[in-house]
Amino acid sequence: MPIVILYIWSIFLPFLLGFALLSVFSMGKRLFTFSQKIFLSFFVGASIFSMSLFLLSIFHLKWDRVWISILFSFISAICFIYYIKKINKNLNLTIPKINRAHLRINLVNYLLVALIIFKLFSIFFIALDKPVLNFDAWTNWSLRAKVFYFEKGIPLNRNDPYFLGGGGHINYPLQIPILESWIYTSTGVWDDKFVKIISPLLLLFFLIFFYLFIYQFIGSTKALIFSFIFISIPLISYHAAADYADLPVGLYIGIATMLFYLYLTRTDNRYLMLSSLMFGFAGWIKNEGSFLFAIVILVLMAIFVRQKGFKNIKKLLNLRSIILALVPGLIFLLPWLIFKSKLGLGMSNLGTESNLIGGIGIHFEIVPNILKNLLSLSNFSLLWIVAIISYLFYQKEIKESKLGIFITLVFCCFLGYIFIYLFTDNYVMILNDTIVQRNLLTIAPSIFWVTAFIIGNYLRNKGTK
Amino acid sequence: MWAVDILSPFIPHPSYINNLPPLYIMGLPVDIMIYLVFGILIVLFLFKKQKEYIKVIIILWFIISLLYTTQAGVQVYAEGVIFGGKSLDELRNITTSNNFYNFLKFAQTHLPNNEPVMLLVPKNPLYFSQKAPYYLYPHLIKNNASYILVFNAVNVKFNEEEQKLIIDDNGKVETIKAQLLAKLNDNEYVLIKNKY
Repeated sequence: MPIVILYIWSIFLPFLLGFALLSVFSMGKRLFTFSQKIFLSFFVGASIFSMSLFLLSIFHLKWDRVWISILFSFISAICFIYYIKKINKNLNLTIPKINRAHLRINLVNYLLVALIIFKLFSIFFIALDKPVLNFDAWTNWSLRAKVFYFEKGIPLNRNDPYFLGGGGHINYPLQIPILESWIYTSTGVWDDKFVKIISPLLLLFFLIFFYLFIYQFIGSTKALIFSFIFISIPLISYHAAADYADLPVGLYIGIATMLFYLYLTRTDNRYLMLSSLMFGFAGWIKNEGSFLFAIVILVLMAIFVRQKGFKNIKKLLNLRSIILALVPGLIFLLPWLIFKSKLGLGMSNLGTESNLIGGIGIHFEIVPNILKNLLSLSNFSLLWIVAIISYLFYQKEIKESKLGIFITLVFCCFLGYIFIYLFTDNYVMILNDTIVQRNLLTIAPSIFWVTAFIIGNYLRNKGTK
Repeated sequence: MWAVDILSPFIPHPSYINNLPPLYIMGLPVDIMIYLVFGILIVLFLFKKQKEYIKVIIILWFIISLLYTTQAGVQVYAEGVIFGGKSLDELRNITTSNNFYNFLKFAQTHLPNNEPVMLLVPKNPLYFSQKAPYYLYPHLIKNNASYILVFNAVNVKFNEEEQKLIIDDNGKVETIKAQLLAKLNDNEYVLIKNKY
């Protein structure tokens, strides 16, 4: 079989699984447009596919492209048959028409689309023109992917020198290495250049989902402007080409918060469940995902208990909704969390033991470094400044569009990081400038869409095109 | 001059993953110019309550994004020149310092399957000892392994006639009896420890 087809198949299979599962999940009252479903599919498929391979490894099944392809194609086929039987009794196999209302055709929009395409091309090119280059990429993710590929599965014996793939930070979750390893398995080639496609692909799908989400609230031209600004944020485009896990975590959390917003505006519980799953998926990419998931649940509980403020969403934040926000993501993460706790792998980046107690104390020496990182524009351009201005000066727009809760959530996530920096041994990573920007990357997409929403909404109300 | 500042592509550097280098125009950091503009805008925001000024900020952000996009375009060209048309092995060598990848590949062809190796590489930077496991897999790195890979290690000497490897670790001298298995050049070679 031509290798190009195998490369395409390695990406298409998780996508197909995600699309099939989403189709079944979104049956009944319409949840997503066809385009939204398409661009959400890879996020869902990649996580469920990699978690399934992890669970199958527990039964010592040797990875092989044939049975993996048959198994997941079969699951997808069952989902599609069920979907067609339930939903589409008058079977109509025509391709859904593209909704041209997504994009007002004018010269400015054409230029903006051209700029976005050019920027995306540069990201894909820079990612795919060389093999894995950055430190954590090979010590954590790509070494494991290589081990899984050559071992035909995940070494789960604690005494094996390549236990969980070896490398640094043995307690890191496995979505990225499993996906990379699947690409090797599917193609039969250890090509550590092509595997770097995962992050740019996630960024591409996030960007289109972001556009489709936001254009309906702020109009297509402003949505395109913000889409272009988003992919031009330097650290985001750098990480998209660098095979790290921080950006994928941020993109998953960005999608999760957008879905949560859809729940608040459309009051369909399925958005909430999917949002919860996205938080769970983020926890399967990097420990920071679980950490942020826990913070979000705690903040929601605090708002529910206090019942002050957030008047416009009070009815939507009840005990049932908090359970729905917690349970799907937790169930997804449970096998990994149980596995980690059984083997005592811990959550800390600095070792297998929790350093919360070991490093107790207040490390105020980190404050200048944090300020320096926040004030530097070379990583996130104007994001923090524009976000702060929009949160301070556009209170009316925030109240009208129910965005206050998101500002609270991302601010608490930021405070959560500050707490970890101040009170644990992780402060050393602030002093050597290795963690602040990367942690901020996990909340940057969420902050960006909230900011774009507030400003875009304000400009739209003012009659600006 | 300004064109050189903006359009100079940054050569991929591993530490950029944590902090990217700032953008300069005419030798001045863009950060400072932006803060000056923002200072004025924020004063206008506070005193005139003109929320419309956000348009100016977004236009400014858009222009900065265009600069970054231009920079990305130049980087695509520069990387195309450096990496274009190379095989995967050549690319791995280019992206690994000092021909280290070529040495590891050379060593692997002389090592028995799955045999652990002892690695003698420069201690600083950590890069060499950290990157070796990625390319050497399935060979584990172990301090007492029978096979020794020597790559530009400081204070390490191999006397081929006497079959002795002398390691001077800050005055603590260790001698290992070994024979040469394969040699890439005077500072890069593979040894096997003598059993007796």
